[in-house]
Amino acid sequence: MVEDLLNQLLKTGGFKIGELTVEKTDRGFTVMGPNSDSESSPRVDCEAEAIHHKVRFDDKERYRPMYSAMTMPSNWHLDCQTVAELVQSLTTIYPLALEHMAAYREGGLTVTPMEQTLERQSGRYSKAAKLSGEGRQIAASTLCNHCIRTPVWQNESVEEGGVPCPEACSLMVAFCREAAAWQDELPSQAEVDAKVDFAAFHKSGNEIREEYLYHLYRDG
Amino acid sequence: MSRALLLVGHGSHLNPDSSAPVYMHAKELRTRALFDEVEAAFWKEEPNLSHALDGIASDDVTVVPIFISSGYFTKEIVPRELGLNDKLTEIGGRLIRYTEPIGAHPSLAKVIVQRAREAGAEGSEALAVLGHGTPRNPRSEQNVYDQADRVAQLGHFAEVVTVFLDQEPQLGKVFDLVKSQRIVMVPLFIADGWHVGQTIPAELEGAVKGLSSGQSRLRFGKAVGTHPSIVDVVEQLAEEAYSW
Repeated sequence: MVEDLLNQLLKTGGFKIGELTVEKTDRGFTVMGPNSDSESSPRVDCEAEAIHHKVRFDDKERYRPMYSAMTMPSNWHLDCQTVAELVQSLTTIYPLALEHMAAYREGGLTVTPMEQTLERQSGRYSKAAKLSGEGRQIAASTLCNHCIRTPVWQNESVEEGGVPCPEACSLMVAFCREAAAWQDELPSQAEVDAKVDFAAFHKSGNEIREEYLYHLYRDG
Repeated sequence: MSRALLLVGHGSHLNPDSSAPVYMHAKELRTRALFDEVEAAFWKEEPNLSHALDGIASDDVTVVPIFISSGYFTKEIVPRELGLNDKLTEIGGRLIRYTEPIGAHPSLAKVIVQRAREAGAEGSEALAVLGHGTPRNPRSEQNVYDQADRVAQLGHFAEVVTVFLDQEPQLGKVFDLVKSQRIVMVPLFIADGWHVGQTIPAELEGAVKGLSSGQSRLRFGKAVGTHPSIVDVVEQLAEEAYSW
């Protein structure tokens, strides 16, 4: 299924996936990060560990626990000689993206509604299920707007070449847990602090937190 | 029939080092070419556990938890997220084998001994096995005690004691628990993360306050989970599971 998908995507000689640009070349394929080109951007070895190391942190040197977050570091490229190397590279950068794209195309993607994901949580994350319907909508639109994937579990349709998201991820669950706590005691807003870790939702200045709180305060 | 090995770990939303051992061991296991596929998935990193099987094509999948305790995560979270019923589960025509965590396997005791030796243990010291522990789950401590017992039975150290971060006996009490003047402490942790290298040494520094700077009474080893020999433990777990 993934091979068929890639053959389709490569028909025009190249394609975009998330924040990456893939181009077919005389010697195989080039994968470029944001704001990158194959001539002047530094080259990353086409090897899983090197790629993993490259995409582990964003341009602000913040850790990226969610590979699909729109925080891909910029100005780099890698060269793949074969389709297999291209698949491996894309899988390292965006785990399961190709599989989910292929499954979505075939109509076989298993989608889990947000309610189901939150209701099955236990321990400290069981509180996430207490987030109101409105809170869940705001959480989904806030966090997912920072992700390359389209939340199919929110009944959204995926555009051609887009990456579907079959289920709310662990970051969404963690964020819903924080947001549920804010229902009891609404924190005050703060300026976004670019140094705060992407997933440190409990910290004042976290961009996702402040965006969510902005919606809450704006909508009363 | 194609075989896959899936290593599952905790991972972290905040600490990039948490998943490093899982990736390291997966990489080594791929080179051993024992499985058609070797993949990794996490509770708190992508790829998440709930969709870990989406990227695996093999008909026979062995899941090995890279955890120390046979507790909350390995008994509840991992089976729930992967959709497992028991040691053997059929999902979509595939057979999923679910092993005990590496922390439960007897061969881990030898890795603890190796870590102690790397920290400078020569045999006459006391070995302190440091576990995480938790007051929330009494099952959490059992593998730590079992491993300490196995190490004691190997007979390499004058004494073997067990201490914990989050339950009694707390690690600062190690000096009360041993007779030996020289102690080697080995963390029975997966990663050199928040605790190892940061919190733990600070706590120990407080506990050894008063000793002269030239006196090296306690040596601290690296986390067991980052030792290269862990892949051998994983292999044994996987091969034992294949015989079910």
